[in-house]
Amino acid sequence: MQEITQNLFKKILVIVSSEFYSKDVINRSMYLASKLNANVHLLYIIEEKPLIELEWQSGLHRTYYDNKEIQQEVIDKQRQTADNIIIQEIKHRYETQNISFSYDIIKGEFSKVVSKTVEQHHHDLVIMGYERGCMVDYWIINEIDVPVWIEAGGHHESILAICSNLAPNQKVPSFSMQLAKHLNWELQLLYVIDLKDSVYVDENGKRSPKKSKHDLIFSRQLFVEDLQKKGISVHTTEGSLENETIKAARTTGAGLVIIGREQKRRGRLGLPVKNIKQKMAEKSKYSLLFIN
Amino acid sequence: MALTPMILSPVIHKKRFNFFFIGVTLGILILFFFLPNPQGLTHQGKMMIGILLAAGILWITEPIPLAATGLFIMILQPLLGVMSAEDVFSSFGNQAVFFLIGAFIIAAAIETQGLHKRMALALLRRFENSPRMLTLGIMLSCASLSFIMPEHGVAALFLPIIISILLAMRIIPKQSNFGKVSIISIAYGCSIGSLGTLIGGARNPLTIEFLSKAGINVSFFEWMLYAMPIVFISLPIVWLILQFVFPLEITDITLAKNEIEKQVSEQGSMKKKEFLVLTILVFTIFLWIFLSSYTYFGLAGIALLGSILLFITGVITWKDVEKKVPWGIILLYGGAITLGIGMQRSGAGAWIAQRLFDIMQGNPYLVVFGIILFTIILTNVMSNTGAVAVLLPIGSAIAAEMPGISPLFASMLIALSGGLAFIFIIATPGNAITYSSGYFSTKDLFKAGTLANIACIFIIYGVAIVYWKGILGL
Repeated sequence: MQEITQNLFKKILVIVSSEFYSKDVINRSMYLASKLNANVHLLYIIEEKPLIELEWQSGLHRTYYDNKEIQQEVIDKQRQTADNIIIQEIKHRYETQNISFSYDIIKGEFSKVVSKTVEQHHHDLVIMGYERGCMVDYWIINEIDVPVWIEAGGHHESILAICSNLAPNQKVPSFSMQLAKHLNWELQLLYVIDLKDSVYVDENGKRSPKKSKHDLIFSRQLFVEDLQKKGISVHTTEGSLENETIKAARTTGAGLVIIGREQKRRGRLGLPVKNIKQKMAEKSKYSLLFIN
Repeated sequence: MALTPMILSPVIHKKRFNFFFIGVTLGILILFFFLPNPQGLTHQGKMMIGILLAAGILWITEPIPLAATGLFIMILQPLLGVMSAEDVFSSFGNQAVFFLIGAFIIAAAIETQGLHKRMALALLRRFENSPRMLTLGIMLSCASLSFIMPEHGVAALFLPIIISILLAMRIIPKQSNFGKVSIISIAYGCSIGSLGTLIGGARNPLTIEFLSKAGINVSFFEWMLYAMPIVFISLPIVWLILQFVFPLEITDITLAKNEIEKQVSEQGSMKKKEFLVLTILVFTIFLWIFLSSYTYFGLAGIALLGSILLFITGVITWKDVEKKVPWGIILLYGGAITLGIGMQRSGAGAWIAQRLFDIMQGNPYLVVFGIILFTIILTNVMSNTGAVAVLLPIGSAIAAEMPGISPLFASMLIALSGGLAFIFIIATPGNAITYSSGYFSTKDLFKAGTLANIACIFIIYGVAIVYWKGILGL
């Protein structure tokens, strides 16, 4: 925990892609980089899924050679667009703010590229946008173990940190306090008991067998009392984790919601049920910070 | 930094789904085999409906390549006792297949010699006056070239040209309405243009072949006569819809103009081989328009004559043909033709038509509207040719049941509606090709495509009732 807070946001990876480019992401990275005196590494990803889709859809109507030719042309043009227009614009903005900045343009599958880049460069924060319905597969937000900030725009300077029976709740409280202090933002802590998935997740992220509501309330009480001893007040609520979070974010007018390593039940039989984090990123009108 | 392994990678999901859909397809065939025959339908007819459903599922979900589904349909019919192997395979060898082969070879020559790019730039140059005119120019140019080349080739030709223009104008992808309209205009222009002649889309020759089996011959010129009004009404209306959905934010077109001029000057003067291709193309189109209705010449004969002339003059080699001709579509086409024949001969088409007829209570106007609507929905979720192949035998059978609707009328409704897939990326290769540029989102396409498709439903309906029925007496 100490290690995390000491290295808080010194090397920020900012991601834009051919599928989604948001100026809010750039603005937020500039804000954080200036506040925390961090370096920015900008990554432009030429998402390969539309190119695969192109080949798949045209496979019957155009030959292998034709498809390869048009794919290469598209990649070349996207690289030029990124290099000559988008990166130039962003570079200019970073330079006017005296922010240390480097960039890469990489073609590949979004999440794979992000995970590989973080592994290579040891970033301590990832900032990106989230676009519902585009071809990007955002599995990275469930898998990566550096914080991921999903920027949605907005100017509210307040943080809502979410703890629940479905997360170990080890990092979120102290990390949120640290961040609120660094940014000088207001902080509120909320503990949600998810009644639809009534298990308890331990410090190692392991789910317990089903618990009674009484047991879950007791566990929450222990958690709340522990934080109160440290002088931190915690609001409590019961319901579905995602719905209660969204409701609380709306009522408190949070600018950023921090969510930990929740272990909500996944789809049965291996069917692709969207993870809670992706669901929230899709629905939310406020920024999210996932700490795995 | 350690990453935990993914719960289930998308590739594994895709493979699992592929097996699932193949299982569903086989399950349907087994179920149909053991189901009792419905009243008025033979065992062969019942199995043919099962094959139609199986083909529909495979064409929509694509667990195997579309062409392989075409082959699967061909072997299923003799295997399940619907048609003899001889009948199935002999129906593959028809005039329209060779028309397609000839048309593909001619298109390959146009592309190999770069004539298509010269024509594209020449057309675009006429629309450099304003941003709005340029987007109209893109749509009209794509449509015009789709009269003489397969639509997907035209989309692939225009995409790099237009991206270069957008790059020169420093347009940011997905954030500029001008960028969105310019790129979507390519996809929609190609789709609309492909309706105009028999060359634009493979579903057009499929339709005339289907009609010829029913003893109705449609010449190259007659097709244009029926289809062109829809093209020329749809183009400006769809363009206006794009302007309405994405109001253009730029006013200065100078950089675009400079880029077009730069590309034109890079082309240089017309080369001898380009001139030869152009001459043979004009000659072939002339023959298609004026001589294709003659029994001893025909569409395929003219297409192959044009192809042979290209080889004789040395403007194309067999290597070029191997690189440029998509043989897979011919196999899909073969499957689609046999599907139609099987539906007709087994009485399955007539049986389905009777059920639909009962639902629509015999109202011909409702039936016409229903055919257009259903075709447009289906073509948005599966291959255009597949959608037309599935619906032609049903439409034709409906025509037989419904006084006032001829097989030609119903088939043209399906063929032309089948080319208007505007809503989804997966709907047609033109949409997928243009989407890959990154200038518009799936939401943008959905928004514009839904409105454009609604408009086109009414355009086809209006043209069908007023022009085809009222004036041409189809």
